[in-house]
Amino acid sequence: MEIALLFVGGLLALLMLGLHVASALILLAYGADQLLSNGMMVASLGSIAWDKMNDFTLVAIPLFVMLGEILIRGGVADQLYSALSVWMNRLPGGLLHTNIYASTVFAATSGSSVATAATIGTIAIPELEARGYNRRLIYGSLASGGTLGVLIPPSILMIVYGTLAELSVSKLFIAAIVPGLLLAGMMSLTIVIVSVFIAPPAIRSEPVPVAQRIRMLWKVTPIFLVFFIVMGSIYGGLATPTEAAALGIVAALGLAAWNRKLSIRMMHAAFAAAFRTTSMIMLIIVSAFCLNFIISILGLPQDASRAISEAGLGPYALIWLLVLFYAVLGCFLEAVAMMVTTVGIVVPIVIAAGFDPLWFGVFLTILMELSLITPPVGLNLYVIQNLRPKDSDINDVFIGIAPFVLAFIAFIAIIIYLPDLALWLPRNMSD
Amino acid sequence: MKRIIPTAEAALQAVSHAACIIGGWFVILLSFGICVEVVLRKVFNASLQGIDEYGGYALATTASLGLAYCFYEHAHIRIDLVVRKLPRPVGRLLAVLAIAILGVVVAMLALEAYRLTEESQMFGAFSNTPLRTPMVYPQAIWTAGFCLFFLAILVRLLHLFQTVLTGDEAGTAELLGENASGAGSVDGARVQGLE
Repeated sequence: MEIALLFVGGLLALLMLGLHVASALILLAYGADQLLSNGMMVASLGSIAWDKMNDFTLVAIPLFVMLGEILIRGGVADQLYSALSVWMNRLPGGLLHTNIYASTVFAATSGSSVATAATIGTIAIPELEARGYNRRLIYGSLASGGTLGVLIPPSILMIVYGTLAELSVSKLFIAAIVPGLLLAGMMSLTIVIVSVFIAPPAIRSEPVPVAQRIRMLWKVTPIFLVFFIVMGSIYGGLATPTEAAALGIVAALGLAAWNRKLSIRMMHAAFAAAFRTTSMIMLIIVSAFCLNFIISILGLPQDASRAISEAGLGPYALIWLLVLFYAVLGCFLEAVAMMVTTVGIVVPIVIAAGFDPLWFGVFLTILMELSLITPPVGLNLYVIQNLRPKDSDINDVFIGIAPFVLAFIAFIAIIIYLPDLALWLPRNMSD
Repeated sequence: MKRIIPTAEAALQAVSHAACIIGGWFVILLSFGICVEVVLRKVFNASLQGIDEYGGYALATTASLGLAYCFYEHAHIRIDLVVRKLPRPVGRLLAVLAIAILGVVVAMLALEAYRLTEESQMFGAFSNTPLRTPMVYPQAIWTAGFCLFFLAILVRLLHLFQTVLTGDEAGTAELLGENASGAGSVDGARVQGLE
């Protein structure tokens, strides 16, 4: 256990010095390798790197990033927002719900929270400010809605988790669907509660005839179609996540061509974005495997599990301790770094305590989402803060997010005590 | 003569960007191939041979060739939460140190990749599939990606040395990505965050 803590401490120290995450992981692995295991890791560094980078499952990463980029540039986000907004304006809280549900739908085609928050935020902020909505609620709903990007599949973070924990990415994706929708529902409920009891917004909206509303929704059906192609083929056992992503890309290209947004320039911008993410994440995955190689040679997960069972910590106490642990860690690290540095030790402990690793993947992703909207390194907060008008106050973002953070904590409790919310769908899927 | 280093850097940047674009078209091609494969498998119970094998090679080669581009975009994640709070010269020193250490780590990866490729060539290693692809070809391109990345880091360090010596404040800031990284801008956050 001491060595495990030493590892985590050493890693944190290296990261705080501002080293690149990949350097910190490899450097620590190299040091431990030289001191404790006679250079076994270095001898197999080449094959570790080749095996991971040559893995067909991970081909899903560039494919899903590219799918999201093609859809962003394909002109669907604006249409989606206006189509949903005409349906939402009767709810208490009005168009604020559109922020959540537009993010939900967008998240279902994109694997990134930051992209989701930035895309929806760019459209929503001017629109809602003009209609006189409470600024704090606008920002809070956008930042928290954006986090759905990592939970609702496809999710790049889940592919990384699945790879590190050696789990089926298909099952992880399917497991995240119900919790993702439920979380969106809870955010919506938060808006209702706040707008009814605390700050009723002054809504100015014109009624839109039903026929027109249906016509607007009909125009955005292709984006739902892309989602059903991707997730349907995974759930039905037709395709692996990588294959499903490829099907999605072909469909998204068709969609962009239909919207007359397809061009060489747009494609090249999408390629550049895709490889920026892919190369970054592949380097980190390779370095995380180097560290995991050492960690498992040294038997650290077993040591840590033993120490925890000797301490007489019950399974639920352990999980709540982990919530606390990740909340603290989230103050220093962003999500990818947090995941790759801890999964190697934490997942075996959690399995030993009797939890399903599939459930833990969903749970961990929710904790990562929470870290996206809590200061000081909550990326989504900064995205929204950068999008807001110059005359607004920085604290509006922080105050606006508070009710949603409470909703998140309630949701974490629900998912801990009702794990079947995540596990029911994957149990029934065809392989 | 003092334009040599910036020119070399611009050339490397162009090469790494071109690699991403070529890799991107490969990925699109691969996507169509995979679609055909899925349809063939489900409808005709047949298969294009080795699409997953070549998909793997495509990822390994393009991801490694993209490493340098990713570096130029300041997209390799580092946590600058603490570094940002330090006095500027100290923060910059740590930033340069981080690049130098990344260089050492990448050199190690490049060497080990080279060793693996050399072994594959020496023993004539084939892939364990019906296609029996000689491993040395994809592995050689993959190794080249790490070498390109190492070269990019080396030239960046030289360029930084130059901007510091000549007192080019704006140049140093740009090379260290002080404006692009972290929470500085939406694009910065987009680049940094995969979540």
